[in-house]
Amino acid sequence: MAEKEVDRYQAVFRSLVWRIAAVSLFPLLAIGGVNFFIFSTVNRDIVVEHQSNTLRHHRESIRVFLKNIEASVSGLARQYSLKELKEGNLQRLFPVIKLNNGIITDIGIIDQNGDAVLYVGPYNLAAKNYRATEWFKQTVERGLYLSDMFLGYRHAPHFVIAVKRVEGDLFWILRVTVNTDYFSRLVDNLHSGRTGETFIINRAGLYQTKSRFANDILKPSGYPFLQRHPGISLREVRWNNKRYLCTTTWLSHPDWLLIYRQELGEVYAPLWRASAIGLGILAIGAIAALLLAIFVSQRQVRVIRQADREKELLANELMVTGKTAAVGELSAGVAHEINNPLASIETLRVWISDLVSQDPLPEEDRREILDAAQKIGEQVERCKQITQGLLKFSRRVETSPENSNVNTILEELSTMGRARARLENAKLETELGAVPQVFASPLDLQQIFANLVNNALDALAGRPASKVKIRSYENQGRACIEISDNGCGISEENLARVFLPFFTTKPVGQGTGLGLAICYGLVQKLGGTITVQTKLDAGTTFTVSLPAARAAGPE
Amino acid sequence: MDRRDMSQPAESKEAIGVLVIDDEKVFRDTLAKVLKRRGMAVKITADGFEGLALAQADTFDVAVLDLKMPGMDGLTVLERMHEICPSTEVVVLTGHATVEDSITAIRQFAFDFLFKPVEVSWLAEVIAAAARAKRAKVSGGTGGV
Repeated sequence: MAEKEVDRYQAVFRSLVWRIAAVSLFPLLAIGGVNFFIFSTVNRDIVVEHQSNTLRHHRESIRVFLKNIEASVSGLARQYSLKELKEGNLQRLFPVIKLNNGIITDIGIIDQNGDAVLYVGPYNLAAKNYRATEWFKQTVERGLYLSDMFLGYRHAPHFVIAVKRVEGDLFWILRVTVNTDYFSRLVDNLHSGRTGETFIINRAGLYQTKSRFANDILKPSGYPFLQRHPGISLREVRWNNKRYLCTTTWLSHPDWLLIYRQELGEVYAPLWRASAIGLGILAIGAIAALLLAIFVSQRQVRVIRQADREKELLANELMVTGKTAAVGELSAGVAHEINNPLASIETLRVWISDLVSQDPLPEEDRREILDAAQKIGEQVERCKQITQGLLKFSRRVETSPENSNVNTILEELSTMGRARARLENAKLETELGAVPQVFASPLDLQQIFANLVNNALDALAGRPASKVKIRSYENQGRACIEISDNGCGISEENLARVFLPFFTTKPVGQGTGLGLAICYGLVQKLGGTITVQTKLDAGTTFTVSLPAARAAGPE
Repeated sequence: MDRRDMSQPAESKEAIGVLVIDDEKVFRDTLAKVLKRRGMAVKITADGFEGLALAQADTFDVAVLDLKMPGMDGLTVLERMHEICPSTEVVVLTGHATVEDSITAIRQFAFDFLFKPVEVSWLAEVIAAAARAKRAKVSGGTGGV
């Protein structure tokens, strides 16, 4: 039973913890989640905005760079005739261009047949014919051409900017090679953090510039999204088994894709950091909420436990009150019972006085006096028995359980009960058989049966030929006590509630409604059972069955 | 208690006729002896039925009636007594007095309601007063209770 109690408190504790934790954690998690969502969205927006803008600027600077070279080359070709250039202007001009931070590697002039007629630069390319090269064909066709990277005669990756100059019927081509390293540096000027790098690939996906970490020019990049797209595009790409945020934009001329890529981990590092901090705070909050829930629940359970204990105490007090009520109710009849012998004594006293007042006392009156005196003695004895029974009954104090004989208690009770029964004009019969001893405190037994006898007498209430019968017998080694009446009976709706505390059908002020609740509690305590059989207007029988005491008594 | 004149002895020539109905043998017997010694004619019975039968056969001035008896209940006897011989005054005498009982008894025309143990001299005075009231009622025809 104690275990069950503990279980109950633990269940209350657990459910309280869950509820409080749920109530306090839900807003915490909700706010945390919403914040994280908003923050991550905002963060992504910022990243996108920043990357787009940066790349847009970068694209412009690369475009301006190429345009400048293009403009210089065009200007040079327009400014001078082939003859003038051949006469040494190119040699004179080239150091100037070259000095320009080594932007241009070399410069050459090719005639309409594709023969190199003039070359200024570090390579020995003066006698080469370029008629078959792609860039030559394209330049002839378009007048101005920016090539992709190619190896060419020098067997080093480079790209050229070439313009066609028509002079009379003839034309010639002025071609400059942009310094690959310089261009690569320019492109990769935009790099940030640990992994951010910028490079260019062509439409075929081949590297056009060195990247920050590798010189892979003309090698396939493996970048999968090579369709032209307008403006700036951002996408997360799985690339060489790493996840990157790739910001890309197409340069229109030549057909190059400018890519700025950074490992996702690094891009979102601030976000992850913020998330980690957020999660940390959330975790601390959650732990705090949980601890609070546990603390509050513990306190609450303690309060409940205390309240239960107080309730139990109160119930015990009420039990005592109820017991007093039962005993008091029974003994009221007994007190009245004393009045009868007292009345007789008084009459006898007067009779004796009358007789004694005769001066010569006749012999027969002397005997009459002695007879009266003896009768007084008998009446006193009657009173004595009543008072002794009453005292024995009501002075019984709480004792520890012992091996008790139920019949002894029932005997005393029936004396009391009989007196009360006389008041109600009822009979009280006993039929006490052999019963095993029970292990119980006599007070408890007295309480149980006093209540039952009282109730039985109450049920009679002025009905004709009413009687109460107390029976005791042995049944399957248990002590059984049957208290029956032929009174009003209990209605079916009330039957379900008779053992509930404070349930009473007696008028206000008469019943405490505790009698049967006390009986039930006590019988349970003694490990017994109490059952009731009743028929409305025919009577009620309460049967109490108590386990026999172990022969050796308590250990 | 000065509402009744209890001066003794009763001025009647005839002895006061008293019927004692009580289930306590010693009380009943001794009371009869005491009352007889005080010049009353006393009959006794332990039972309400018999008491009513006696009251019908003989006209008593006063009946002394116990309320709690086996068999017929004292209050029932009181009621019947009033029907059978309304002139006889009934003095209720009981050891189990309750307020309800006393109210019922007085309503049913009991002359007085006394508690056991009662002082016998007082009981004798009440009986005498009851007898006077009864006789006044019978002879005068007016008077009432």
